[in-house]
Amino acid sequence: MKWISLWMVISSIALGWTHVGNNIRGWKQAPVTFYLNPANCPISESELNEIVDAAILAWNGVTDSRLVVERARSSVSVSEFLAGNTTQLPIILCDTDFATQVGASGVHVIPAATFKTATDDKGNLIYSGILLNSASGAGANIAYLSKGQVELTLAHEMGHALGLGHSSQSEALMYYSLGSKQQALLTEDDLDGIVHIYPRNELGGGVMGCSAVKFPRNGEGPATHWPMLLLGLLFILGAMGWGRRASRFPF
Amino acid sequence: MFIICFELRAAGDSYKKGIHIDLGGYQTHLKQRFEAPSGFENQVSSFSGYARIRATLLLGKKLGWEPSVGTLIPWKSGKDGNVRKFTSHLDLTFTYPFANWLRFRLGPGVQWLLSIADGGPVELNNGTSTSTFYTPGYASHSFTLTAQSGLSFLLDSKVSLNLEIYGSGLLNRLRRNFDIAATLGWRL
Repeated sequence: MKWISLWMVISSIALGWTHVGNNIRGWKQAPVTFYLNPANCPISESELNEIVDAAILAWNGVTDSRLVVERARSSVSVSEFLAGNTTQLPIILCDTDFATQVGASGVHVIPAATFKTATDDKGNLIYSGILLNSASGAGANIAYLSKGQVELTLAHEMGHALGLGHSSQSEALMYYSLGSKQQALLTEDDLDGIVHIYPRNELGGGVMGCSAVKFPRNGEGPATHWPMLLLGLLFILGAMGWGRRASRFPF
Repeated sequence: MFIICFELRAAGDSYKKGIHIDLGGYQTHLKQRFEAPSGFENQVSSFSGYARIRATLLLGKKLGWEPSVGTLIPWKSGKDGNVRKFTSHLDLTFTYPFANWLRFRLGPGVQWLLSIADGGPVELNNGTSTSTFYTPGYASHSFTLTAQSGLSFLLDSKVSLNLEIYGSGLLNRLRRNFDIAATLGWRL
């Protein structure tokens, strides 16, 4: 009975992640820099910076992914972003006219959303931005959320801007609802989804978590193959050692 | 205790070359599991079965070399089977005897994550209605170097108990990760 129970626990592990588009390949540039314009935000710039950095921290801790995320300051406006007139992407902006984007009812339940996500013909993300609900009198204005909830919301929207869609797993960061979650915590489902878009290849460089971020699919960045050579050398030395031993002491 | 030690000592003398089948359990993301808030432990870290084929080769009087290939079972999949994830290990582990019945294990390896999806749209809740998301129609491969360390208890001339820890991303505090495995091995 115990074995059956154990097998049921193991077999119940299911994946629920999706992507925002068909055959998304992620951003080509590395690191991925989120440009933040704190203008019109209902919270202070320093607090917003802390929140963005905490959200970034969650996405930078994925062992099996090459993804590296950073923050930079921007002065691009919401209208410029919505008109498609910026190269500072992905971008995070505070939108005082959020109801125009999500509707009169949505402005009271949606604290942030990701807009204008676009890809090139190879599936690489080329345009995306996060608008934070800063509408006056809106029920879901980020000023009414706790710092942890804004952090969680922003980390979720960053997931969209990086290429992830919603997950069917209710505990996942990419589930549509915050639920009882209190911090930006990536579950294994979130990890699996982001690793699919930004897989790591340490056989081609960037050993043991070091920074070398490469996009071999697009032929960018110099590839260093010494980790593979080292493993190969160990294999050959082991085989030679065993061969010598076997020839002297045949089993 | 004396009897057990005696048995182990006698069994250890029989460490020699061979092919082993190891079966056991594998727990991922130990660090995240300890740091996760209550109720989320099983969402950030999961338990799987682990199956491995391992060769034992003697490099000298004491030093052993054990290249192995293993995979986590069952392979993880989505609820409707349109997404599948395969996790495999290639390890080149060296072993050294602490005692006749106890061998220390240390060596490098590679973890290979293969993620396959069938592609196609998925309708999911977005809070106010539903939105169309997608599973990708391409396979993704991730290769991560690992350092493996552990102990092998030689229980019998053919049976061993192996306890191992796999470290990856060791040079980066944020990405550092540890998995553990416990297997029972049979020499064929």
